[in-house]
Amino acid sequence: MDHDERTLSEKLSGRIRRPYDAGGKRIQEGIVLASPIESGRITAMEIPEPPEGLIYVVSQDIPGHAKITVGGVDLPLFAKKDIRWKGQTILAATSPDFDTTSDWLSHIRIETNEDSTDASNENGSESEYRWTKGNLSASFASAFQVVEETFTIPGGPHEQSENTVTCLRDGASFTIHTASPWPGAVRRHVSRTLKIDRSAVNVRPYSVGPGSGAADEMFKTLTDCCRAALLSWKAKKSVRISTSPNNPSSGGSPPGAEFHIKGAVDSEGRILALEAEFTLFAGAFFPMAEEIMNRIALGLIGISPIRNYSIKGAVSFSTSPPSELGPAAGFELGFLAGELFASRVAENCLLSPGGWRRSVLPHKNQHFGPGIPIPKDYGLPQLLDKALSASDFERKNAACEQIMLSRKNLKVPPAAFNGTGMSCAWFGNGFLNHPRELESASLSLTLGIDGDLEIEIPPYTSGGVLSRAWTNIAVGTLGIEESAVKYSVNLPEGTADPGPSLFGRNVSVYTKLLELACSDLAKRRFRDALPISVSRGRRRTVKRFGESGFIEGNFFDTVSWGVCIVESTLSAETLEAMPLHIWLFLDGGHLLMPEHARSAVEAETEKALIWCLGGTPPRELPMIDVAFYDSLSKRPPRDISTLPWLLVPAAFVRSIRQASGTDIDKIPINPKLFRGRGIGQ
Amino acid sequence: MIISFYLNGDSVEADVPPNRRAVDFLRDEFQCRSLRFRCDDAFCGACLILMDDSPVHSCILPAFELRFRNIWTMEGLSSSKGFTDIVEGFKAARVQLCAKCAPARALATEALLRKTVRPTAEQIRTSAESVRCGCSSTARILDGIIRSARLRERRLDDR
Repeated sequence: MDHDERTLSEKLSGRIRRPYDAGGKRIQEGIVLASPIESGRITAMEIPEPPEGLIYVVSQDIPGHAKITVGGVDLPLFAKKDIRWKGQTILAATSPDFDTTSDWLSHIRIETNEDSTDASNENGSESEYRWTKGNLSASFASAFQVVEETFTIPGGPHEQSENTVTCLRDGASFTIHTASPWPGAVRRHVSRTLKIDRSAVNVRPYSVGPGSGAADEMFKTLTDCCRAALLSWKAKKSVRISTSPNNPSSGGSPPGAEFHIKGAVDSEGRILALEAEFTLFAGAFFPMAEEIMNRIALGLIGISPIRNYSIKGAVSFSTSPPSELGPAAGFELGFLAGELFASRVAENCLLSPGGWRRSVLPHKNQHFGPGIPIPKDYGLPQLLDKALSASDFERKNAACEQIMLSRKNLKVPPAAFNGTGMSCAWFGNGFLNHPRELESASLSLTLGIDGDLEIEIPPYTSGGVLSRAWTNIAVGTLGIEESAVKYSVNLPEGTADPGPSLFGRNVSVYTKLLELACSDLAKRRFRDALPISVSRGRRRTVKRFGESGFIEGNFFDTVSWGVCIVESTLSAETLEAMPLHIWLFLDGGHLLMPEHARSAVEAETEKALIWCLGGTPPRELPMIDVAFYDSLSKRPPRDISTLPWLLVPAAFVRSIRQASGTDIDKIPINPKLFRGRGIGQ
Repeated sequence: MIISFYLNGDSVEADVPPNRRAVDFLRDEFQCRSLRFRCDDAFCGACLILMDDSPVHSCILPAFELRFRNIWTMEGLSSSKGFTDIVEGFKAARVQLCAKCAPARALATEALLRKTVRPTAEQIRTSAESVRCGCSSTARILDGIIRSARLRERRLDDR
């Protein structure tokens, strides 16, 4: 049985443990009391005498920080007086008997003064963002035409996932079992909340699933871990907290947005200037707001070189739970709106989308977007050519366009109308703004006397597949047996807590660090006595993105590229939209595990489609063709599983616009959108 | 209430309170760790058990409903010969499952293969949809089920 089969067999048989499997029968269940109102003030709270063995924690009981600071926002662990969203945690309790705890909680009386005022951003961070460069008025004055695009994207997608945190207490030390993509932050926040040394907190991270599922519960798990640790600290017992995904306290959805874009276009179809306004609909709190807003702005501009722009973004807060990260932390919103705008420019210029794209793509030694230098290994033109020829896009697009324009002349309307759409996108691996908490990464290798290699890459659990690729790197460089490679599940001691393993950081950053450490170890093992330990770390603190007000410079470790073409059909009878065939051409550099990459891209493509369709899977599955850009030069690996979120929705919406002959201006795409629009007449 | 039932082929007996869910009961009393918690709403299928050869959501099933029933979980099924058909089939289809949904996926496939080794497209689709998770594309899961069925059929023919 090989490694893959062994792992698959363990997964299928259920032998792989999850956070709720930690601890024995004596573990106590913790329950949280959630706010019954959306916003207001707690005027009085009557807490009955707790029965013997029952312990509860409210905000005032916290020995350390009562809020966790993440992504520039202070998230309260418990509502003290002010309630900001329905389901906000007010109190947590635990006792040896679950029923006793829930019965006691049901006797708590809370008096609230409900108000209807909008939640404001009390964290003092900006709620309006602006990016400007160049002379817009001159560009619009000299424009051949002005193209406008309006689009609304709902919040989400939000996957239902396990919401269990187990805190095992052993004397003065706490071990947190959680499925979090950011175990480093769990340790830091738990130690701050309990006001204890970091070394007294261990984190046992569990796999959070491949792809975008890792991001959408990042902040919620941090607060849940702190609450479980608080109960465990006060009760002096091991405690497990499980929250239902149906409970609003279980964390919010990624934000939605509304866009209005206006572009000045010259007679050859080049975009001279772009003026965009967007409003982002966030929850009561919006962690990593700056990162997400900047990514939206970047996505709006996309790939075409644009010298003059004015982008204004505003955040609208609500009384829903704090916003979580989206599958691409804002890029999925920006690229969807930006690529739809690009398609409209091509249409208005009476050019084929493929030809227009080809003509406006930046060339070598030029910049893409507003001023980002093109990397040496820029392969987008080749990807575009391959995509256009493999999908026969130009011919299909012309045919669909003809049918759309002449549909009023049809005596017998067809049963369905077809449409095609294309989109191009790039995705930056890592984060734009580089506070140390997000970017730090470190690993250490120890080659023991017995020849075993211990690799300390704590977040490896978030991508079990990657651990195999990393094993191959170690085996190839050091010439050791595969069975001699062991992974440590603990966070490294004495180094900065690692940043989240999201957005390709595992692929681009840790792979590089591992390669460096392995080659260093290979040199030293013939010189030094065993055991030998080698550490490699990264603490990137560069100038923050957008400080100059411009969007310029190199922000990401590596950039992956992609082109997508979607062919869809719209039933004239049921008005049901359905993707038929999807082509994805992706440049992910040197792929660590090509077959796994293909599978991950297919899964994310399906999720992105379901998001566009409002949560309903398509009745018939589309054919998904994934091709990776094959370059002879060895280029660093990069993330490709996020690209479908940037590419597929834009191409799919465009194809449905063409099929329906209407300007649909929002998702989800469902029959309601087309009612009364005369489809098929 | 003391109930007796068959769990993974063995006759078992236990005292069960009336408000206990089958998922909690099986996990706590019989260490059936392959049952996952996720939605608690019979939506995701991560808590599937085989009750008299039919897949059932144990998160909405009262534990006393197990009385006199024949219950299988992946703890028992993974030691059967048929389990290798599923592993091989899913491996050949290069399905990338996550640890959260994988046991339920195997159980749903086993339920289908116990019914028929030549499932129709509709049956395969229904089996794939009984577990909802975004870790792998539906096309690969369907392929995995088809390949598992072929392997099962071949193995039964050889016997």
